[in-house]
Amino acid sequence: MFLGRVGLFIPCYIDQVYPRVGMATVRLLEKLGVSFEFPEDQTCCGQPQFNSGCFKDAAKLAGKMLRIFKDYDWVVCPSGSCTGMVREYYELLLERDKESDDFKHLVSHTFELCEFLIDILKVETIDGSFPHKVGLHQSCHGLRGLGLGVPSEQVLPGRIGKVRRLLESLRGIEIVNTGRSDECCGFGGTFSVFEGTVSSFIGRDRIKDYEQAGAEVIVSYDVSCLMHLDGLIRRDKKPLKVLHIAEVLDGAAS
Amino acid sequence: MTDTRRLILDRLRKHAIAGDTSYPAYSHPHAGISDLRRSFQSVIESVGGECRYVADLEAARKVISGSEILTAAKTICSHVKEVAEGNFDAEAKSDAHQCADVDLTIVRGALGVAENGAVWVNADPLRHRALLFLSENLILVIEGRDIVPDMESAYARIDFTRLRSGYFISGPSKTADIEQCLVIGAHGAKSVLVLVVG
Amino acid sequence: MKSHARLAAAFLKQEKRAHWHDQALWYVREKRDRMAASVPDWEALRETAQAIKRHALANLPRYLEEFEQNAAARGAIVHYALDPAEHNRIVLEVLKSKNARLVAKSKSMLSEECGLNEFLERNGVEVVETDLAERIIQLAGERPSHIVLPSIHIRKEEVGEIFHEHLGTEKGESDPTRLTRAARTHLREKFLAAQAGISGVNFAVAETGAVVICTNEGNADLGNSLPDLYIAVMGVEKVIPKTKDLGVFLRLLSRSATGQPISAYTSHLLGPRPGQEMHIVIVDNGRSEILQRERFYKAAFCIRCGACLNTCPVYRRSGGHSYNYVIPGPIGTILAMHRDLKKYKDMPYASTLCGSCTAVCPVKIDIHRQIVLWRNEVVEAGHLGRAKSAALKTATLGMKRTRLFRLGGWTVRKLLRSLPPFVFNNRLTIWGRSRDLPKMPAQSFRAEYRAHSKSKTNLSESGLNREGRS
Ligand code: SF4
Repeated sequence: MFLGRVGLFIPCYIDQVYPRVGMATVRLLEKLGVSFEFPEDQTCCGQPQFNSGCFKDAAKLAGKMLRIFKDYDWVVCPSGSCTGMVREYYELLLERDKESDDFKHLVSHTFELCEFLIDILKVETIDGSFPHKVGLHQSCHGLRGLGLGVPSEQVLPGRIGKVRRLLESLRGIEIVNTGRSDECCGFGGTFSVFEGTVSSFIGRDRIKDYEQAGAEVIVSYDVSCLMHLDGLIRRDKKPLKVLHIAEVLDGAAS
Repeated sequence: MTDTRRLILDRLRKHAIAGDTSYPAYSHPHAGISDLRRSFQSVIESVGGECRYVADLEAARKVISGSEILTAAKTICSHVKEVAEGNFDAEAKSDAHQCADVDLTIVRGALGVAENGAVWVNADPLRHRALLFLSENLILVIEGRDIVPDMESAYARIDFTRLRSGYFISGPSKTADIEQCLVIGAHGAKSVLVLVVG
Repeated sequence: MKSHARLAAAFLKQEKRAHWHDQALWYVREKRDRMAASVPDWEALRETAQAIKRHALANLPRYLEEFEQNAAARGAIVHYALDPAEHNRIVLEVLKSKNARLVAKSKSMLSEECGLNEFLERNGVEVVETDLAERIIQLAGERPSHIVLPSIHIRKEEVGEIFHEHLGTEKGESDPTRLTRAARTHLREKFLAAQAGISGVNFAVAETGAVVICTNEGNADLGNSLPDLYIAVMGVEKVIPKTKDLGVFLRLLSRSATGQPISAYTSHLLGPRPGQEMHIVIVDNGRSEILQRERFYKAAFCIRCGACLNTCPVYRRSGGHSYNYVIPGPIGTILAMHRDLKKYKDMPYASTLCGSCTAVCPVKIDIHRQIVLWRNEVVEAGHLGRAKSAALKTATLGMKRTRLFRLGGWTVRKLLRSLPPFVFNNRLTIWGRSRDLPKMPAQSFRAEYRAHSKSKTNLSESGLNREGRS
């Protein structure tokens, strides 16, 4: 399939703190035969600023993103929340560009990695095995913002969701069901710092859900949630592991 | 007051509501109910009430004549004489407060709603509408043909032009205000029996 | 005034209780899910509910007038009040005109908003809350912590103590049924003695002038039928155009609120009962201003079901009293900000922006989006606080220049790798207080990627790998 130019959008914290997730994304796309570019100028989508209410600061970064990625046919990002930032909220930041073709193109062609695989590349299964019990953490921004599945509040078909279906194609994988299927992990961006106590309390509850369901690994398409959960897991010295879905798919497919 | 009224209405005219503000054309019949009678009964039971189907008023009379609800009641106010005579005439009382000790009240309902077990009671024929809430127990008598599937069809059948007060009653009064524990019988009736005739 | 973060931290100190609170509310949320799923057209109903609200509120003057005329034609006396002071004054005057000294009151968030009880008490009128939870709160001298379940923060043993002191129940009694029975007896006396009833309103139908009130306990229904004076108080936004619309809202309300198919009682009152005087007080108190704000008007669509509280992961873990406004949780946040941006500036930050509130809301208010927009209002007004602003400013500066960004990332990684973990995983850093920091990698993604592309190009395997061009 001819896709045109594909730009890889690597969120700032993946670039600086979780390069292994970025590299897993790179290898996975390579295995799937996707040609892409990583524009070196990119830094951050502006979510931390936006999330704190500093729209003017966030707008500067959003403007930079638009300049960098406007000439790509597709933009792919291994993060639900950063993708959601572009798709859901850039219109609040780039008021002046809102009606421009570049803006509309960027917003409608920025995809979270799993979405890109499933909806654009039409990947239905991944050939590989991952013989573990997995708790799939559907981050709120991916689930409710991007619609990667149907959240438990809504009465609509498609509850299983795209991501779960993709994961389930791996041999040996068992996806456990938690009591609260899509409860927030409590990270919430700057919330995790502004309201550290509540944030950690919610996170521990979520970890308990996964533990009780028998999960060995928590897998998500958002590293930010995982960073928060992992921080709690390691502090409490629990045996659980966390992995980004790109790491799982890349590792399984090798 | 008139100044306040004008002020408020003027302010409300300056709203910023965007998008389509026309009145929506809609209809949302509850498509999920295959058996109206079964659904009506099971919802009433799920909300702590009781529902019995009887062939006619005579059968209704038989059903309750030996029942505990009737035998345990000392003061009975019946507006459906065919079902029970009663021994308390609320219509003869000038003040609703005189009905404070009624143990059982029997009245007619006009409609039953299958999706939520509610019975529509037009209180206008009653001299004291408070009776419906003062009474310790309640028996509501409705006709079998008056069970409708949902609230939309219920409201389509209620005539408000001359109505003064009407109530949907779905099961007994209840509360879960203490630690979310359900307790039946808060301020209103402690039990509600719906008799569906025909 | 303490911030939400501090009040929430205090709430969470009692861990067991906090878990109970979380689970009790989650249980309600689950009941709501089951009830919603039982209605095949649920999502379409929500759409319609919003469309009706949109229409009704865009045409509110017309519908208010229609409602007022119809209610008056049925014999109700209609008043308008701009603010709490006017509302309270009207209610007091009406009570005085009938010499009413004892009022049986049913739950009304509006009267809470107006501080009616305190006002009436100050003026020599005894007000008895008749909803069980409200009565518990009133006797305890507290304020509601939830808009539908006002006493959800109080445990049964505490109710037992409160009732022992005020109603004379046996000491140590904590059985919910027996406590409820005691309250029934106590409140029945009050109902019979009260000269007036006051209640809130769930819906007011323009077409007929009907006032519609939903309760489970039957308290509002006793309060509006028994005394010779009945006062209904309502916000301007309660008016809906037609009777038919009740079919939409009533199907959504109880299912969303408590997971019931409908409340036990739904009263439809068209004018007073014979021998009674009925007053309706219609209050603005800032609602018209909400409707004038382009980004925020939908907050006025709220039907006060409380579903957004039950689902909120933060509300469940912090309790209603950690929010400083009378209405807590997500809806409380987007209402409080209209009242006083500065005073309630921390409320929009008490959210993870998970969006669950928006997904449960029966009238589809864009709650989480409004919350983040309010953060922006707080920042623009200069209320974010110096430390937070400065940190974010520095970050933005760094992010804008790619070189600075790389340098910053490099510094942090180096620093964190070279220092022993206890330096940053301690109680002084906010993150580290209860979480470990991620282990820092040796190099950034971009560095690794550059190396990776170089080796790929060197191998120059196939046409597949063209990614190293930049
Ligand atoms: S905002 Fe929506 S969910 Fe929250 S109380 Fe209001 S109507 Fe209910």
